[in-house]
Amino acid sequence: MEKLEITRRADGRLVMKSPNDKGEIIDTPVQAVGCFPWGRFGEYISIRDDKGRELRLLEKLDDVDAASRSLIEEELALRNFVPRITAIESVTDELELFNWKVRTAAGPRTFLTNRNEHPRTMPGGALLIKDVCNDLYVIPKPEELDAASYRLLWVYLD
Amino acid sequence: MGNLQFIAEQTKKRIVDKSAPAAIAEGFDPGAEYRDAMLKLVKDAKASLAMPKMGVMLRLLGYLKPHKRQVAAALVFSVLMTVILMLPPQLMRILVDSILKPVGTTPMALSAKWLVVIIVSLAAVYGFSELFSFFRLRIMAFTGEKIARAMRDDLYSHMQKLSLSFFSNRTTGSLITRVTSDSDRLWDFIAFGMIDMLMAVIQLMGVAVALLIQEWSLALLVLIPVPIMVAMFYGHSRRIHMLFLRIWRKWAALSGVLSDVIPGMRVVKAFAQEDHEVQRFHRKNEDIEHEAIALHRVWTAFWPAVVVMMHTCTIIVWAVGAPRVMRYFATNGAEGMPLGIFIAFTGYMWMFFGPVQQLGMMSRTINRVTTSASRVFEILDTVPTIVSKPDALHIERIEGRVDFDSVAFSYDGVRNVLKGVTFAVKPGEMIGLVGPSGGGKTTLVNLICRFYDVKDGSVRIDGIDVRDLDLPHMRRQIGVVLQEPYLFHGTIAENLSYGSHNASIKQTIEAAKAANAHEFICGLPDGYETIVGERGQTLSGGERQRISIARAILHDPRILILDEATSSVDTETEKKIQEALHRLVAGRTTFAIAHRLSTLASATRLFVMEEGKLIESGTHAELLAKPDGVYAKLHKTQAELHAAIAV
Repeated sequence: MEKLEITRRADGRLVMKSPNDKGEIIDTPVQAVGCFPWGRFGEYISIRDDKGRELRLLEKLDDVDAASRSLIEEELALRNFVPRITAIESVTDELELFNWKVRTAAGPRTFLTNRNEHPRTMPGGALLIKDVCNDLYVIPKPEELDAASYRLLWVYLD
Repeated sequence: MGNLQFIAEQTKKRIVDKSAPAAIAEGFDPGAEYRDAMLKLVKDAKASLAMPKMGVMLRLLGYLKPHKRQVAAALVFSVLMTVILMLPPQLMRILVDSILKPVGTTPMALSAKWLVVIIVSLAAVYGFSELFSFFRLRIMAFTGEKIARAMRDDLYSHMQKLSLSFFSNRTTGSLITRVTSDSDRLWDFIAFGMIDMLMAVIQLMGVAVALLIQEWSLALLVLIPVPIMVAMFYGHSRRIHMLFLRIWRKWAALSGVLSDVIPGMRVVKAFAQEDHEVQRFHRKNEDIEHEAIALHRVWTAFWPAVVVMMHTCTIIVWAVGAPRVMRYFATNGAEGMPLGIFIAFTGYMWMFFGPVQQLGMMSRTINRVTTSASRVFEILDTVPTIVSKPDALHIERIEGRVDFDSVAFSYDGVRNVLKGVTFAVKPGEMIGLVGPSGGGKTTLVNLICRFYDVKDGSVRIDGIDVRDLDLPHMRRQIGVVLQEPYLFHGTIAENLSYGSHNASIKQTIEAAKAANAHEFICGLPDGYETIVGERGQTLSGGERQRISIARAILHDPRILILDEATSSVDTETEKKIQEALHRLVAGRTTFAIAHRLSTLASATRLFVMEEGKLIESGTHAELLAKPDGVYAKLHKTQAELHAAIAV
């Protein structure tokens, strides 16, 4: 397989050098997408053009040169950004919704979850909470929360 | 359903007047056919009949066997508790007759000392009885939970063994209730009901003895109504049992409506049938109310009657006992009954009514439990009709030859859905099954999977009758892609590797790529970890279809069945699916059912099925060459239709 070269364009987009229909090497704007964004972060990365066509599937990032690799990792981190919950202040029952008051690494947040939307335990043990707008919040290691937060969360753990 | 006997007789007539085809006439005996069909129904019905109550109870007790030690311990604690609770009235008697005496009759020092002893004893009695009660509740609650879990496991794993026909005869709702609420009710009974009942009996006997010892003539007065009460309870429990069965059936009908209509809400709305559905629900709901009221009418009348009987006893005891106590005081203890005995007697009498009342309630519980248990046992007792023989053959890798040899099949035992179908398919061939609906196409593939057994003739895979092959082993080498692909609740990756749990991630992705599914999967925010199925991410029909094709590719079957796999998608998606299917069928024996003949372009041969018979077979060109052929006609119609739509 030919060498993969990813660079960042002046407008901030990632581009990949690839031949067009005429065989000329041009910069194609690409996105890096994880096939298993939760269980295998940093593995099986799909490099796709803006139409969603896959140009390259990277099993591991080791195969890529350091510069491209760090760009891909940046993009993935951005794509997978999810506020990290550091403490839970309260979870209250409001009509058919749960109102969560939490502290995250990025400051205090309040959000609502549906009654039948249970926090999802991810393959690595992280807990993913989806609110009513489909925004995600993650608790990387639920067992490392403080006792009071853990007690509130305990009801929702599997 | 028509009259089976009539149909059989008609067929017989046609055979006699020679109007029936020879294939049917041969070896046809309407009497035997009818008998077989009826026996099948009788057998099914027998399985669903409620079993005799005693039998059900004994079987339930059988579930206690693995927990003998715990049950024995719980029993010992219960008996201890019951026995110890017989003491308080005795203490009361001693207190009244020997300690609380008028001043001057006994030295005070002794009384005060004895008072402490009595009070401490009473405290000890209550303390121990609660301790025993704690042990017994804890042990039995845990054991009951273990038993309920075992029962749910048994039920579910047995259900998985049952043949498809079992499920087509029953509603999902009623099967779910059996695994969930029925087994929970059994837990309640095993954990508490059974021992409560036993304790009630022990207490009843203990108290009866205590009453007789205290004052036999008075005791007889109290005991006389007991046989009447027992008879009342018996009659009551029988009536209630029937009512419960009826109520349960009405509930099952109601949940049947719910589980039927809720998934079909789109159809309901599209046809503006909301009012009709409300009416349908309303009627079932009304039925429940009806039955429940009938039930309530019975028990609400029964209980006051029982309580009145019990109170009558109290009145008799007062009327007969109190004068005797008065005489005792009047004669200064020479005659009559001491006050302590009278008080102890009334105390015992109340302890006596407690268990009677409890046994009465028990009759209700027992009824609920036996209905639940017979429903659970009904499933456990159903014998799977399609099973591997003990000496079934394993073929490591099926080549993919499929032969039908004069196969006849019927779902109800009389009307043949397949009539003498014979063909031979070589490994790797792709067979397109075409023909009008009801022609027997789906039945034919069902027989290849051995979802049912043939009535006559044989289905052979690699030259071996499917009935001689090990069933799971054989089915693992058959792949099915259905018109409505079913995705289970879970991630896409889990759904892909359903049936091939050992597949590596790389293989999974390869399969998804081959099925043209990889790109859209990676486009989802959670990629292969997206949750699908009920409550999960909604996927389009074409996307689900491609996932199910990828599942089949990963499964790598030797024989593949495509049941209308492309019928419900748009042209663009169909192209992608066709590509995917093309990769999937390569090197496998394939049976593809399709209404759109265009989708069978790559088929090696086409089989035209009509009214359960294989009427034409050959390549597309060969069949078109037959001027009066069914296929040629079908093809012409579809071409015309296509042209008409295109215009």
